[in-house]
Order: sequence, then structure tokens, then C-alpha cells
Amino acid sequence: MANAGDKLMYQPAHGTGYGHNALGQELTAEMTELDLKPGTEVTYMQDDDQGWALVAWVDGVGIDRITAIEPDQFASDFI
Amino acid sequence: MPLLSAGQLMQTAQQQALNGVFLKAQTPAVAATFMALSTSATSGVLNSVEVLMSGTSINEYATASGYARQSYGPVSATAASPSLIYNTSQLTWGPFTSAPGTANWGIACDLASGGTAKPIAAFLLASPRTPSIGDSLQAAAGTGSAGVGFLCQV
Repeated sequence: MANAGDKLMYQPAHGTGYGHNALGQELTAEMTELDLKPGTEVTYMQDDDQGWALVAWVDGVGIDRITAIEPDQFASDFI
Repeated sequence: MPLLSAGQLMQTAQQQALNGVFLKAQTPAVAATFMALSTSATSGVLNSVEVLMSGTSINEYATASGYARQSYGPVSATAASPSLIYNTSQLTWGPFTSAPGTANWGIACDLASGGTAKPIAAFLLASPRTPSIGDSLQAAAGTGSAGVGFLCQV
């Protein structure tokens, strides 16, 4: 159970980005740059109405992002 | 007109602005604001009387797609007439884990998630955007020029 402000690392066993894993194949170069990549530190914010975890992170071009993470994936891939 | 075909302040923000400038009430405390994406059609659906993001005409992207509202981060209103407010940084949603549909509107609101957030202003996108699985969706930082970023003026 994460608390608001907790710092976690995206470390999925499959070793691919969040968007890459969802698509099941490599993203374009532009989308790869914007993907949530393994090794990225995230800050847990809160759960949304549907139980997805909102995490804040900084992408590969330095933009602050907020992404919703499916609950099971949040439990297994964010350490 | 309550049914929107162009960007404007939503009902709660109109009330807050008028009560504030005519010294009828304190405006709300300084706080973060967020930009949502809406699939409402470009005209005849989105209603300016909505006071909650759960309103039936809002049609926000579902979070069960990787989507989340992004920090709006606007400048302070410019000392000019018309006065302007706009985002200072690029906004990027996603990456999406399922296709969220076509976004036609940005809607600024006062909470990072949830239907109890209050819509502040609606911004008609210059062109619809339909991200695919794995994509991230970017919007430009505002510059104060019309058509660049999420710009609001009174």
C-alpha cells in the first residue's frame, strides 16, 4: 500500500516501457522518447475513482507527467 | 450559450470571477489546476453549466487507459487588455494502454482526478486527436499568441 509522496521505481520483469508493453511491440522513436521507461523514478500521488494509481514522473524530454497505472501492474512493476 | 462550440469559462468560474471582481466574495485560495481531455463533440454537447467533472456532457477520457489529467501550470494573468492566461510548459498525456477515443476539448479543472472536480474553462482543440495504444499525446506550451497552447482571455 503506497502513501502519497512515496518514491518508487518502474522496474517491470518484462523490461520494457509502459506504452511499449501495452502495445506489445516497439514504439516509434518519438513515442519511445515519451514512454515511461524501466528505471524511471515515480512519485505516487493517489488512486483515482477506478482504483488506478496516479504517478508523477519526468519523461525523456524533461516534461512533468502524470500517468494512471492499472492496479495489478502498479503492485508488481513499481518497487 | 450553454452548449459550447468554442472555448470559454464554465459556470462556476464565471461566478467566481464576477463575485471576485465586483468584490462580492473572496476568490478561491491559490492552488494547482489540471487539464483534462474530453471526447465531447466540437459543438452542441459540452455544456457550460456543468459544475462537476462528472457532468453528463463532460465526457472525459477514462483513466483505465493510462490517461490522467496533467498539471496546467498557467502564467499569472497578463497585465494587458484583453488579459491572457496560458500554460507555460508543454502538456503530455499517456502513454495510453488502450485507445481512449478522439479528444476534441481540453477542460481545465481544480483536482488531479475524480468527478467532484470543478470544471473551470473549456478549450476547443485546434484539431481532434486520436491517440493509439502506446502513444503519448502532446500539447504545445502557450506563448500568448492565439492558437498556441491552452489560452484563455477575458
